[in-house]
Amino acid sequence: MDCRTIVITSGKGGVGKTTTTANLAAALARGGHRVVAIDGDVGLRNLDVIMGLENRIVYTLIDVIEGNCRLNQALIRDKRLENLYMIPTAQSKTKDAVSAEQMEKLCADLRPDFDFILIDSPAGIESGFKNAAAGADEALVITTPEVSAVRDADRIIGLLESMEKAPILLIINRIRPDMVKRGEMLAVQDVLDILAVELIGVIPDDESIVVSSNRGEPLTLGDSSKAGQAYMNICRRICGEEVPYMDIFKEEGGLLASLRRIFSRG
Amino acid sequence: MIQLKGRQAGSLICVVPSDMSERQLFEGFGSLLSTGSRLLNGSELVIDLQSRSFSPSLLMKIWKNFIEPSGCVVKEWIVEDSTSRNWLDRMGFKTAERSQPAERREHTRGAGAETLVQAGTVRGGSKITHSGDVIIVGNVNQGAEIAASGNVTVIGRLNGLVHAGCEGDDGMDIIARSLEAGQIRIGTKVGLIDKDSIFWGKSVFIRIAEGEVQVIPWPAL
Repeated sequence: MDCRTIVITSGKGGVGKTTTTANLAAALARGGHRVVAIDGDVGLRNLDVIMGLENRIVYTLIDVIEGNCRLNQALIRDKRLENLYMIPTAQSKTKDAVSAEQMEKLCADLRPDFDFILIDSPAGIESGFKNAAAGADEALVITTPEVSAVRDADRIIGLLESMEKAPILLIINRIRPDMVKRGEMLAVQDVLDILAVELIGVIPDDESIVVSSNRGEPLTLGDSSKAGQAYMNICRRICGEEVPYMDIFKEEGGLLASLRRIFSRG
Repeated sequence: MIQLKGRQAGSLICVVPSDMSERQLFEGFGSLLSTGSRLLNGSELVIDLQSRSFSPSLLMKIWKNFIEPSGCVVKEWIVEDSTSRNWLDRMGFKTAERSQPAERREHTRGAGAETLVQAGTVRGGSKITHSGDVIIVGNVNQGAEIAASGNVTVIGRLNGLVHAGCEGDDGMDIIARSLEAGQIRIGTKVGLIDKDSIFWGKSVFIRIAEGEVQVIPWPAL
């Protein structure tokens, strides 16, 4: 298959871009695709930690761009999935260390060897975002159901449209069904009404995400948590499968869950 | 047709045209009560009787059949007819004279070039400037700006900033399918809309009348 290059972006920081990049990269690799995840957040790298590859970094994206090493020397192969790779970025440089042309060339050089290139974009709308997006054809926009995050996502979608990225697909992260039911959180439809782009997935707020990020084990490597399932579903939709949306509003079953609900009401 | 409008001060104004028959008058009040009860309940209301002459019995009928059941508080009555004003004064109501004749302004086309029709959402960070009228078939998101020398119509959610008559023409109007903007601008005037306003999220027609920004439910109640 032709290589697909996707930038994962949001505008606002802390909404789950890096976690999404790691989980989707692992999910796609589990599906048999050759995947490379690039950390585009120069100076504030985190993708390596979330993918559990931080101890194996020798060369970075900046070393490749500056000609200090060959491209394949900066590629870190995941030990758990043989077709999953990552290119870390430098912690000691700033966003200006990379240009849009250099990112385009890097992606062009990677294309023959991979099915998917996922680029984790930094927050903001400045050069860091523009460079990360430059090498991509498609975009996944992450937002949480908060007014500020949705507003920034709207701005980013406008910029992506002007850069002619297509398709631009939306992931709504950290949705809390209980808060939506109480009218204290924007519902999925509210966010879609504002952003007017196609939805590709909804990730429920899930404690297991924090645990998996701290352990460096993306949920999609095997966990059966709700968030992990949601990421797996997004991965299948990216690959063109029609996957029904999970009913995240369905309450947990069983006696234990019922008792937990009764006591939590108090 | 009896019209209900919102004023910058937060109160509502109920305009009773002079040319209505008594039967039309009660039909009009009846329809206002059935469709606008949520707007009226607890609101401060200014009743503009224009130049029509009202007998005490007719005024009492309006009070009993419309004002009392609506739950609104009448702030003042604007009356041009001196006999009606005398009756209202004697009955203990606060009356006021109109500072200027009732405005009868037609919806005018904005001066300048052709109407700009924009299909799709206007996203935050983008700005549309146009000499003439602007019609947006979509939402105007927060952070987006529309500046038109003419009128602006938003067939969608108005969440961003709209300035109609941006070259200083107070005679321009704004129409929105759903008003969700904290501020709107027409000509030289700025109108602030609170989220608690009865017009928030409603279809509205906004114009400058008697020197202030006036919000009118659309279609009119």
